[in-house]
Amino acid sequence: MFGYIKPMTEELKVKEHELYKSIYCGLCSAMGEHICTSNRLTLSYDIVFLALVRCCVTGENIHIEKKRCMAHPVKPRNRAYIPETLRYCARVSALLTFYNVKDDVEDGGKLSSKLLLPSAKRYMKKADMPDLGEMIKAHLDELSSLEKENGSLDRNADCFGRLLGEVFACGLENAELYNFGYHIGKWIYITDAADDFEKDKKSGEYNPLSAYETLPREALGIASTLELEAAYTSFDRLEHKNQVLKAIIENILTLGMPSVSHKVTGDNK
Amino acid sequence: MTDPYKVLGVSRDASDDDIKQAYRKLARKYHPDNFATDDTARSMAEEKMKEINEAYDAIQNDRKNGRSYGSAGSSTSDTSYNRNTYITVRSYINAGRIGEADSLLEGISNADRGAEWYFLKGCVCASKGWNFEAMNHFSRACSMDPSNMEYRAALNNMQRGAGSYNRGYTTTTSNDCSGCDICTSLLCADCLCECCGGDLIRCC
Repeated sequence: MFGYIKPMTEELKVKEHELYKSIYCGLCSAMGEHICTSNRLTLSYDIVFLALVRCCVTGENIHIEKKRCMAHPVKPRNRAYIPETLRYCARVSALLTFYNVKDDVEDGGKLSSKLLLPSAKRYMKKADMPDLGEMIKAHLDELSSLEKENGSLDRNADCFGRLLGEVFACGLENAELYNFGYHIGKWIYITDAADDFEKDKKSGEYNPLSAYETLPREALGIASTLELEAAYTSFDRLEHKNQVLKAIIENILTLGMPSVSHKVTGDNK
Repeated sequence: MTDPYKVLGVSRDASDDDIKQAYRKLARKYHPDNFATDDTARSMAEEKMKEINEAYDAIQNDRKNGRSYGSAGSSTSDTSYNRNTYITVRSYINAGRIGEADSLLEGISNADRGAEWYFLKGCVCASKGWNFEAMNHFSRACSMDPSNMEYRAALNNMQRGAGSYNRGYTTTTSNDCSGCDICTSLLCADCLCECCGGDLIRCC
């Protein structure tokens, strides 16, 4: 995905930061364990966020151990073991990587994605979640046909939101969690469109905002903030079974993500 | 159903901010997390929580849809046929029949679309949560008919809604602390290096 969903680290408590880093580490190793070592390079902050939220809602037990790994062979680091949550997140990450690369190749994309396709295919097979895969595929197909129609930003964002809603709530039967994911997805789509606006303008690639001469900063800023607010209201309504995770997620929703919005839609870009 | 304003303990003319605050306060108080040890209290709290959520949603929907749609628009440029259509559209929006309202609006040709059309289209978008388009339509309505208070209020309402969420963030970082920026950048660089097997900051 995109890597926009990060905490504002300087506002985290030390124990929160420690937990965040160990879950990051745990997810990376889960991706290696369930999918493939090379897949670990596609780890993104957004999937870590998915892990935080799902773990906070399910209250799955977190077990922390000090471990060395390839990236840190000398000094051992705290690694979180949250089997159910991290396995699910590793699989979702593999599926999203696959469809992302496949999309790129079908659009006649870069050489790098063509080279990546075979291993991405392997990730997808390893993920072994045909239902979720189908769901992701259906939404991404819908999204790409909307994009070809040059549909509005909101219509596309709505489609991407539904996709993330399903991804967040999959297997947990939680309507509020679906809502939460829906708003997060819309926020990501809007932020990504605004962030890539200048770049896509130069390269001539597709951007949902390409009809605009200059970036409509005010409307974008307000639209993305209202999504965040809706997500925060949803999050408040969820059951929080882990208070440290809850604090990290609140930091992300109220500080980390607004600062990204601000950077992307602000004048001082 | 009980009066949602009574459930939240606010008066009917309370501002959106007050309602949000009252809601947050009650939601914190009755959140099932607080009653983890006692099952009966917990199920009662869950019920109460549901009631509070419903009341909040009801007020939000009311306010989103009911921004005095009852009054017919003051736009003079529209033909009388359109004016009748707009009255129907308003009643559809009030009744929550957004799809029907939208298709009626789409039926009006481009040339006939005046300020009121953009305002109503904005309301339809806002009801669906399509805030980016809603903002654009409201702004357009305001620039076409700057004296109309109804359009202005709709636009202000969205700006205020977003403003209240951002306040917490902007006050903590309003001076654009460059020291923090350096820290964040360093941490990011550290993470990147770590992905590739190196390490920039030894201690983390």
